[in-house]
Amino acid sequence: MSEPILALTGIRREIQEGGRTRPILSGIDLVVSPGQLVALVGPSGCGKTTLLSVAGALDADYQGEARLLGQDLRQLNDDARTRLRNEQLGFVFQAFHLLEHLSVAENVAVPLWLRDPPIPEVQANLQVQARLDEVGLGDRGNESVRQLSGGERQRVAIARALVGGPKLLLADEPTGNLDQVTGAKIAELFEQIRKLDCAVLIATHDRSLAARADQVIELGVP
Amino acid sequence: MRLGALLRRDLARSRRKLASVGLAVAGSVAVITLLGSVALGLYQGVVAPLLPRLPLDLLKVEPKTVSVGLLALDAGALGGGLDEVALARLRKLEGVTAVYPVVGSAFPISASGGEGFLGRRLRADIFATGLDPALVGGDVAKGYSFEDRSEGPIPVLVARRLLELYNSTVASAIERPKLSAEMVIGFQFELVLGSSMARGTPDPNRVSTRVAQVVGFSDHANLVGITIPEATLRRLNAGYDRPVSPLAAAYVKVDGPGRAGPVSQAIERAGLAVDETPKIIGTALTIAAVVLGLFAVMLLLLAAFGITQTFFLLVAERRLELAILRALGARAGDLARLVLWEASLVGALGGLFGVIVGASVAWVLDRVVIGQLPDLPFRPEHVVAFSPALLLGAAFLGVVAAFLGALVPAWRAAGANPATALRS
Repeated sequence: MSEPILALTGIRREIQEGGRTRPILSGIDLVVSPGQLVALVGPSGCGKTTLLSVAGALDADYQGEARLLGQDLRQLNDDARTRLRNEQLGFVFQAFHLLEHLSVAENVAVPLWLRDPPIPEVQANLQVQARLDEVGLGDRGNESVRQLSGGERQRVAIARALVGGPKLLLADEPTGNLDQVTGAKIAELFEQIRKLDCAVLIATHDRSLAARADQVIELGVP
Repeated sequence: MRLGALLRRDLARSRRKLASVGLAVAGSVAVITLLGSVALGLYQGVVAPLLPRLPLDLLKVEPKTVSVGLLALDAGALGGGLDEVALARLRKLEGVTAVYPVVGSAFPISASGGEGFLGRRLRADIFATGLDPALVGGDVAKGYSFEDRSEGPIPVLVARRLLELYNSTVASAIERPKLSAEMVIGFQFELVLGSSMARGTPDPNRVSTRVAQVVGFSDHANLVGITIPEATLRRLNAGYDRPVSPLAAAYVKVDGPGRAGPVSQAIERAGLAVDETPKIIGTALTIAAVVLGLFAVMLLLLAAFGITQTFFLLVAERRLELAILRALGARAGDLARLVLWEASLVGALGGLFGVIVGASVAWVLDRVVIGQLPDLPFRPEHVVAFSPALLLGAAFLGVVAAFLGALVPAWRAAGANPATALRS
């Protein structure tokens, strides 16, 4: 059996709210292997997004152990976690979170712009074009993202998440802002992504998307 | 590529807000450039030519002429007025390196001549003082000497200020051309020793004539007469039954401008007066420099404050965007650098624009003011001046102000929590 991409063991997370401590996650265990599609489901406030933040090396204020590609995230400093996010992880958000002042191709290129050491421009452009072709927007690179529909924007976000060749894609309600038909197309894209040996961890309310998962983790409100 | 691509696009997107920041920087830099060019112009045109005439390590000591009798009562260590004993004690003061007496004449003198300059021969009473060549040797024209000699023309130094006064007021009044120093050097006239219109002729048997020759201009020379070598005047005084020459004043050289204050106080405690002109001018210059400096600092602080406000706003507006960048792989330092680079570029452009505007206004001001200035002795050719250090320095201050103003917003940008991007 191949080594897991992500292994979360006994993850607990609390937040301070009005002077009181409120538990968000209480002892979550999770293993994601290469090429797996794992769905996190549960009611609002159950901690799906918080768990994605921990898995995505964005939130270091947790208890338990989180290992990404064999590395204990707690042992990494901020710069090392940042490098890990840039090189090994991809993020897709419910609200797309594209940079509105950039074109479609520029949005996709941002993770490559941030890479250290820098990637040569010609190579970066080729990678960007390849990802746009994969999501069906190969001829829209020069357009402003403001001109795109919701589904198209989410496809740009997925192309951006994939451009650096990640091992794990984290998606938070990726179909939450889309109609059923468009959502289904996005779900198809995730199916294709897992075939690229990239694991996908999705937080979703969308039962049809969760039905495609190899593993469904049901989170309850602690 | 790193941040360059993001920086270019951010600058293009925020150009209106950044333009306002740039204008704030430009305004401050323009005023600083204007003030700096005026200060430099006045320094080069007025202060710098004046400073050598007021060396701060050379004090002019005079007896307190109004109340000599009373002074004698309070004079203490020096024992009263200025005499050879007082000179000896001045030489012993701590910090004093040399004392040069200004010897007065003990007999009447008149002079005649001036046909070449004035159009007719003129005779007038004059006063003579004697100075040590060691003090004024640097003022003697090349090829001439200020040493005492019993034969030949008596070397004469003339006050530089006298030439300036002649050129600025007298020449036009008597409809004669202005004179340059070169025209006057070498000019000879006749001295009548032992006779003058005011004092008459005390002893007709001791009247003699000597030829005098102008050998240079000096700021230490007697303004209303001539200055000749100290030894010459002492010798002439002795010929008129004054073996001990009267002393009009003395120049006291101290070992550095910093000593001037304590030595002045010691001299004044001894009952003598010290010419305070250099001290007053030095203080005025210091105060002017401090006021200008404070004004420039305040302007920069105001510009920096405006920049801080604007960049706080920009960072707040881009909070989500900064968090997304963090999620996608921007380090905290990258975000801070992004903000600081933006600010510095805007500061540099604003600074450059400010320098151009400030220098242009200064140039126009120079044209206007110079045309209005009366024909003063110290009339400068320009009231403003520019130097590469001033212009580059002013532009650089724009960058510094923008950089400092953006520091706290940059720090806040670096602290953007990437987890918020997922929750938003």
